[in-house]
Amino acid sequence: MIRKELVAASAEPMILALLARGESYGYAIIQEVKARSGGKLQWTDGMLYPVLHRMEHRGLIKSRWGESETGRKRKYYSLKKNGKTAMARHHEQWSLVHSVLAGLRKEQYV
Amino acid sequence: MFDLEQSIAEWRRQMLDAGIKSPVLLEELEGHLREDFEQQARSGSSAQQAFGGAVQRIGQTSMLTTEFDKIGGTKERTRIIPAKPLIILGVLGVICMVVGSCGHWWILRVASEIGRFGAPVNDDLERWNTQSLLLLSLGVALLLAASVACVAGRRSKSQQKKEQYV
Repeated sequence: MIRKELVAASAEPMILALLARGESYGYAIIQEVKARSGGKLQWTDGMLYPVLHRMEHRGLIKSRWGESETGRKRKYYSLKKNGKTAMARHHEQWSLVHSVLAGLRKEQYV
Repeated sequence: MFDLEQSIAEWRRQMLDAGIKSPVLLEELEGHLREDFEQQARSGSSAQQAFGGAVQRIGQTSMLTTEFDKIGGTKERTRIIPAKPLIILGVLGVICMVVGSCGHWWILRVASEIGRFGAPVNDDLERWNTQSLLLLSLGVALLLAASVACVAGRRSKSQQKKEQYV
């Protein structure tokens, strides 16, 4: 299982990257993250919503009420222009962290 | 016998008691709870198990309240009065005050002129005087209301901005 600090830090870039593929809603976002991480990245379901709301207040994403397949009300989130910029910034930073770690690891085995 | 609607109503009550008062937020969380319940039920869990699991996964009410309080989202957002009507209200107040005080000053001057020549002050002057004083009071009230709303709006806006970055 991944440490909760890392889970928390990766939540925003993960949500931005998922929403870059098209609008989505809370439950689907959680399921997608769970599936893509093989169940290793697990969010407490309710914790996703404060993150989504905070991102919305910061103007990174926007929301609209729509309907589910069963006709029930469902809140959909999508990326805003600021969100795309933030996603690019996140990507750059995470790539840097990854390349530093990968480089150090490679040196260990040389 | 497990009753889903009753269980959801009970869960909503617990959320309200814990301080999550925003109906929009409750609606969204309830939607999530229902989706998770349906998914679990489809996978073969009993209704009671599916609901219990969904409630557990959505998290404890105290934890949710703490997280939502950080962004000021548990309560209904205070509606910030837009700036334009406040400016119009303030300008109207100033106009009323200026017209009212000028009118009052002019009437007092005319009255003193009449008094100097020994003529009695006529009814029209008294009526105009009352009207100008009323206008002056209205101006003060409008300006005061606009100022109070403006201060309250600014405070609420800065509070929301502060909460946004917690």
